[in-house]
Amino acid sequence: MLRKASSLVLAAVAAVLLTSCMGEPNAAGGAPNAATGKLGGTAHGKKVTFIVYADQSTPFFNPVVNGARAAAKVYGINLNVEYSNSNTSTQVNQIETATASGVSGLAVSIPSNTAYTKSICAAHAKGIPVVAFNVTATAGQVRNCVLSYVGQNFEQAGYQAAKQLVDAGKVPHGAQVFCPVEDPTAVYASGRAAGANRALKAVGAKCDVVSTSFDLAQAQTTETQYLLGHQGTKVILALGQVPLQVAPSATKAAHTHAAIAGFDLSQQIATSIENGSILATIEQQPYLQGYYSVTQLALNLAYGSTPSDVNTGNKIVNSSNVRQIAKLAGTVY
Amino acid sequence: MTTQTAEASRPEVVRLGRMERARRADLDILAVFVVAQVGCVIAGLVAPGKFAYVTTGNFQVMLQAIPELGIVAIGVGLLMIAGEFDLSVGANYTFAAIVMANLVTGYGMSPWGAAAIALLVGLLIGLLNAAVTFWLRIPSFITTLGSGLFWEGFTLLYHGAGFVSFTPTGAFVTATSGSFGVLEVEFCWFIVLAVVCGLLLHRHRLGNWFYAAGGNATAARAVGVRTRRVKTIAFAIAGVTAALAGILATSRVQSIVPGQGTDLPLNAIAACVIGGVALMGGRGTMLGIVLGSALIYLIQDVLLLLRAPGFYLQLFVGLLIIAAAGLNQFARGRAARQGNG
Repeated sequence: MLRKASSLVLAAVAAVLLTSCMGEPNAAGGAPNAATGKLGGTAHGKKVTFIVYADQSTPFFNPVVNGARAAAKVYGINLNVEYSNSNTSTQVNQIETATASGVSGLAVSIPSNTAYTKSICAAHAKGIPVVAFNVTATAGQVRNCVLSYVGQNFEQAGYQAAKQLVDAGKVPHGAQVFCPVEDPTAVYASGRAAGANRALKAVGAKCDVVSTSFDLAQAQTTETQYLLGHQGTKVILALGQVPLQVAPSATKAAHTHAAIAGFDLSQQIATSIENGSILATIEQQPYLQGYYSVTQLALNLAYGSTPSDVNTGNKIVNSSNVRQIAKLAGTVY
Repeated sequence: MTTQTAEASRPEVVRLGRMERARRADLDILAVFVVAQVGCVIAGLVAPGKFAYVTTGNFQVMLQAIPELGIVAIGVGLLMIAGEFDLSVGANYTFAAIVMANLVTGYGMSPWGAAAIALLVGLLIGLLNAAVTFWLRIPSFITTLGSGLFWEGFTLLYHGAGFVSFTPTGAFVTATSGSFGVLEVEFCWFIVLAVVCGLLLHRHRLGNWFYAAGGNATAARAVGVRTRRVKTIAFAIAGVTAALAGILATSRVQSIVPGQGTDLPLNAIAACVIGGVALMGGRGTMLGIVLGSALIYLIQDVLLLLRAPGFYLQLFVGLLIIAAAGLNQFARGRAARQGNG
């Protein structure tokens, strides 16, 4: 009886799996529309490994990978995208494996000044060009082994966001600015917080960084509880995508009227900017991070050109331009 | 009756029955919870400007937040009492919610129908966990660790990595994320589920079989308890409760993204342990599970209201969770000593 029931269950689950496979296309996996010209003749067919530090479920990296695949298509690059699940040793292994397998180029995120020195410098020593995207080391020997960085300058972006709020008169003198973030220890979080504090210092204010996790419901709860305990909060500067997305509903639940600004973009954030519940967000243009890093490698492999740093992170999205880019949130922005 | 026979086969013979000891320990943790609540309310009334505990907003957020963990913990707790684990509840919670949101947003299906399918998905995942565990004879800890990773990956295959909006209207919103005054609907679901599962656990023979299967499966089988069938039911309940929590949370925040729920399995197990459920199975009560879930959120709520340094919040939450579990263990030890005379 139990065996029969279990067989039925397995059959039903198999049906669900098949149905699911026929469902919506994979947002991360779809080939983007891109030009198909083969500009880099000698780069055609070269193998490039593109290692994302996060895991596949992080929405931010969707447009990054879309951009990388689009550039690979343009230059005929054989691109292999890998994910490290936020695990340093996993990423080091992936870099070493790629180097040992003889790839022609490497694009990696470097969230540590020291952890990747050996693996990346070994690749560099073998003549493999390495480009950093999204995050890179701010000091240490590893910087000499990376040809360029394509991504946001987190400290500068934090400064820019907070300065906009200060200049707009949204930050009272001596205020404590609520700065929720998914993981306060992440490089992007500490960089943006440092930049924000530099700008806030001008009015005697400072950032109060609070961890929310990546879970939307949990983030909303944490932000609401914080706002209830800090009724005088006038400004929220969300340092990441998840806390920015739920900030409007948290202020509503806590019956407060804090001004909200932050970083990164999603469809929901774009909608909140349109309806005025979020003032602005600093967008780091993730599509460009993927596109330019693979492009730089392709041009290096084709013509020996030298990659150079690209700061992708200065695009301010507010009510004046949100409608224009909202439809691309999640795929390009 | 069956349970008593199974328990009598153990070497330790105690003066008080298992239920009586559990009831005493429950009274202890309930007393701790009530004292904490009374203390918070008094502090909130004395200094409302510094500790905004007694506010409509605070009660609302607590009554919204506790069910998300609590509903999952009910399923996980029943399964732990039956002697098994489910580490796939986080992936189940996310996958079921994404299936629901996609059916509504992408295919225009009624949210009621989509929610029913999501619950069915949760049920099937639970039953699949049971089938794999028993057919391959591997520990459920390993089975569900693997199935959790499988469903996380499958969610990406099915949907990709982006956010999915879920903005239903009308009666569905009222039934899943509405409120009656300060009483939130999610909390009503939590209480109804806790009462139903509590009656099942403490007043129905199936509950006795859960204790027997988790306490001493060999003895339980010897007296005729079909332990596999009993545990399969517990796996199914854990699957359905995870899916239900995902549905309610998604309705509340109107969005869902893959990768959510990764903390849920361990938080649910922590809530159960704080509430007195034994990691080895065969012990625990529904009241303990409910209070354990509430205590986890109460700790964070009080710390944030008291303006604890936000950057180090997890440090305090972690310490207080250990303290709460230790206090409960002390209470249970005292109850057992009193029972032994």
